[in-house]
Amino acid sequence: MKIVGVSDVSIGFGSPQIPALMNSLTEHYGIENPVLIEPDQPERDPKHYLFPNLQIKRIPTIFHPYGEFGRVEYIVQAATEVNRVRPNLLVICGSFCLPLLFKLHFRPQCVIYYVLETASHYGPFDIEMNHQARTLMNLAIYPEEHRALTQIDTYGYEQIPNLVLYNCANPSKDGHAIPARKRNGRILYQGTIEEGRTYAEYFLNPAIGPTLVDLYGLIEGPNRKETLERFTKLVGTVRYCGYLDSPTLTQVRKEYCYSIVMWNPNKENQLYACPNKFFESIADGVPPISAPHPQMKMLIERYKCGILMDDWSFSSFRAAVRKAMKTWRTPAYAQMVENCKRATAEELNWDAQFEKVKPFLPARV
Amino acid sequence: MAKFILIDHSIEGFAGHHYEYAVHVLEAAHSAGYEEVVLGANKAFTGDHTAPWKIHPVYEYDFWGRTPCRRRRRKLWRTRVKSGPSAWFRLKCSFKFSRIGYYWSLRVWPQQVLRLHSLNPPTPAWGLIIFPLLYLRAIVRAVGLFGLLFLGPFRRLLYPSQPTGRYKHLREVLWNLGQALLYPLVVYRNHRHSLHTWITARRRSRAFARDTRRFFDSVRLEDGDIVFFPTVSELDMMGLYSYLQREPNSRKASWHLLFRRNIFPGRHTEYKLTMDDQDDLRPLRNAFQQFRRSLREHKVYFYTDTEALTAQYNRLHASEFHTLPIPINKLFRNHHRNPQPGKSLRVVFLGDARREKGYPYLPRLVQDLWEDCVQTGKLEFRLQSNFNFGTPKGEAEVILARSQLEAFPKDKVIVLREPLTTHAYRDLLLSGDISLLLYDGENYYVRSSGILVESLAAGIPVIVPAGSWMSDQFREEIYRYHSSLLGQRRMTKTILGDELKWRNSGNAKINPMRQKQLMFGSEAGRSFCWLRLPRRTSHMLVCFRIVQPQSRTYVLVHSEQINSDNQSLTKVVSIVGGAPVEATHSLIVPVAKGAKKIWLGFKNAYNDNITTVSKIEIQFLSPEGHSAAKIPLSAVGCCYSTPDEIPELLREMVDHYSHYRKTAVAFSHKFVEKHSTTRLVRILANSNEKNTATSFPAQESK
Repeated sequence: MKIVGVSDVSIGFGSPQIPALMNSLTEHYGIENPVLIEPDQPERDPKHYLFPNLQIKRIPTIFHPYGEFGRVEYIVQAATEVNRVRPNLLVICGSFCLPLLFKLHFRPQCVIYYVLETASHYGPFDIEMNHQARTLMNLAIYPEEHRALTQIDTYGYEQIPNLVLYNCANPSKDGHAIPARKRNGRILYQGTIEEGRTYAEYFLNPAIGPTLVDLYGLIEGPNRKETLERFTKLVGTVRYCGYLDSPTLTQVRKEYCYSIVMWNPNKENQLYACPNKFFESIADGVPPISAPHPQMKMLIERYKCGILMDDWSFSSFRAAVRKAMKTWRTPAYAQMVENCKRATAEELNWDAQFEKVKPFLPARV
Repeated sequence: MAKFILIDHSIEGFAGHHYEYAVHVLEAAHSAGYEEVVLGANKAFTGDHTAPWKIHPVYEYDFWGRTPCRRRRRKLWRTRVKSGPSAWFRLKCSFKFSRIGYYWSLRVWPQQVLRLHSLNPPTPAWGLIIFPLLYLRAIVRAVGLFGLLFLGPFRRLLYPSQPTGRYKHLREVLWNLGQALLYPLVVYRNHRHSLHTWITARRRSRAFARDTRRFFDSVRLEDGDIVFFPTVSELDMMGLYSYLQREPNSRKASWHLLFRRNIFPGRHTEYKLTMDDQDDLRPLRNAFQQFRRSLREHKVYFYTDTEALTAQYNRLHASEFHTLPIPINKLFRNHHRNPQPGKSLRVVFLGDARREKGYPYLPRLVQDLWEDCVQTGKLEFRLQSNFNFGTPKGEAEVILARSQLEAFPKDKVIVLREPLTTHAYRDLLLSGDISLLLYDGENYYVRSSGILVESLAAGIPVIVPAGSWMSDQFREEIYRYHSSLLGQRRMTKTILGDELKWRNSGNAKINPMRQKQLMFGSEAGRSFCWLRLPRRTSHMLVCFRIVQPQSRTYVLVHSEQINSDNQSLTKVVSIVGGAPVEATHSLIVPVAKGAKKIWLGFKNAYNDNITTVSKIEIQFLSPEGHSAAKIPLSAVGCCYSTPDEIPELLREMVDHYSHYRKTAVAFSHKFVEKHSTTRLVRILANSNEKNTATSFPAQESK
């Protein structure tokens, strides 16, 4: 009985759903040390110690794995490894790893395709490949409804089960949400910081007013240096606090009143964003302030567990932040925190999400 | 006695709504004493039966223009041929993601290969084989280009950008000749879609005529025979026209055509726009007129199955349409079953899994009710759908919803994918305690639903969209229940509409309440007022009558409850109105704990027209005794204004199930009487006995 997962990212920096799925599968089948293959992203150190239950194989490539040649290298080597192990259950993460299915010398009993990103992002070859590969898999999992609909409609995935699993985290084991009066009165931003893509410029705009915001994450984008410089020069209410690894960030997050989540909707992946930071905040009882990305809008409206921006503009952002600070320390805020707990207990936790997968797994592999 | 012939070309087997419909009508005809009862079905029809009628499977196309026989063969062929990815793609992918493919993609950067691989011991030396291959390719290409030199003058023709005087004329001649030869292809390329539609329409129409002729070759027509088509399209009608024109014997029988699809999109206020602005309906109108003019000696009658649909077709002024009752299987009548105490209430969803039928709402609905109703054993779901999973293009939401539903535990949510036999279908429907019809209200504004009819006949409470034909079926029962409450409950206060201070959101200066009549328009012309809630009020009952317009109108009543801190507690949106217009329309709003005042707004639900209502009365009901227990808000079933309300309505039904069941059972007797199959056969027979072409009296008398 063997389970192998092929990841499209070096794990431990984001995409917590990949190790979460592997761990859940391991628990479900009661096996030990499933293999997870990951690319060697030079900018990301191995974080294997965070996942003691997984046997992680990091595949080095001569070119960067996200380049055209590096991807080929990664797939070739990963396929060799998978063909050697011959797993009964294979998890393929994203279109990036999908070519591996065409290189297998055997047919695994169950293939799960975890569609973390839309194929159109990778070009015409991947579009055709996603269509052709539909008969080689047993289950497709998506993190967002609209992405699922696009995939089913465009690539003809009607004959296999298609599931939406929110990018949820399980609530941390070390306790409950901190009461409102004990929180630090600040707003948290966590994740990629980039002008344009995640609206880093909004935090640099003096019109934001006396709002206390702390930003954690890597500064990216073509103007990376300039952005970093501008952030480090900031004196006042907005602070750039650098990059924290996932466990430390979890500890820090609970102290905050709100968590901001927004992406520029100019790309399909970003419009239909489903950031794990959104779910992690809810799980920690930190109500999110979110841009109206469809999934987040739906969940906030359903559970009333956060504050929704009217649109992606700066004025909406400012209005939402002001509303948030006005609500803090009122009964309405306490209710929002309570709703976060309810949402996490009812639906927005990884265990509840994995329950959806169980009926589609073979009884024995 | 004469024969009764029912022809439905969409019947493919002993299942589905088409077959159900036919069975009920044929049974009624048999009971009415017709000595020979015959069913015409699709060619794909298979299976044995013991019913006392003959089945002739002759029709190639079904109502939707599909050919089920060919489809089955095609499907089989596809499964055989397309069992995996194409060999070509597999080869391409294997090459691209291989070591050779890797070196091939790097061929233009040999320096990169040599530089980056210099420190990489596992680099296979054979990877460098790519360079001799590239060398070989270059030589082949060079030889090929050299060969082109020998093409001489033709080479110039191949490069029209460099014409010289000598060859220019030749090129033009060849170009024109080529264009002339390829003209049909050019036309085809430019008008491919229209051509296909035209060819398909002609083919379908001719096939219907041919198959009808074939059918009546084996079933001889006699005087007084009734031929009933329960579902026909306009193309089928023209096929029938061609048959009737050529076959003199067809004058002996009477022909009854039932149309069940709407011809106008949207609601009746939009019909005029469709008539004025579009030519789409002209061919249909011409078709009906041609039918009428050319077949004066034939007895042809046109029907629809709802009054609203009849009104739509009659707007064409081409032929007169009448309304037929919707046949109800006698097995559904008087089959009232009370739920067993302590067992979960079973919610059933039956019918095609299509977007317009609300299938995509189901996963979210189950999830919303999971914690308090499903997991606690108050509710369970049985969802049966077929048909659509084989043709999923454009219905991705349905595919996704199916998987989501199948992910729920099987003891709580059962998804049945296969078509059911008549008995299995009946058993499933009758096993339900609540029937869900989450249809698109606009699409079903005039269209009927067989499942609703059966559910109501069986006394099963239903949940349906407001502002549709479905909600209109039991709207009066709801009003009757509301008025009955006035006699049963104590009222804390009654306010008449003209006692309130009304405002209009469009123009703050005008008072929309004039001469005890309230006027309002759409969103911009909403009329509203503020109400202070009396103490000890559990519910607010709002009643009014629609004065203008006299046609079917729906009013959206919006209420928002505010507490002493001016915070919004609840918002309730209800759509009331519809047929009959002269009724007193009403709705109940439960009062939230802590609410001090209510904002009450009226607007037109679906259009911008000015609507006037009168006799507005707002009654505040006090709680029953000392308890503040909620009272049922509706009767027979519940109507939702937006899909978000469905979980709350299901909770409402669970809380007051005995009330809903009781009122649904009481209503079922009346409903069954109205939609009796015997009545349908009698209507067809009576038309026949008149023995005149009564289908166009309105036009002819003029």
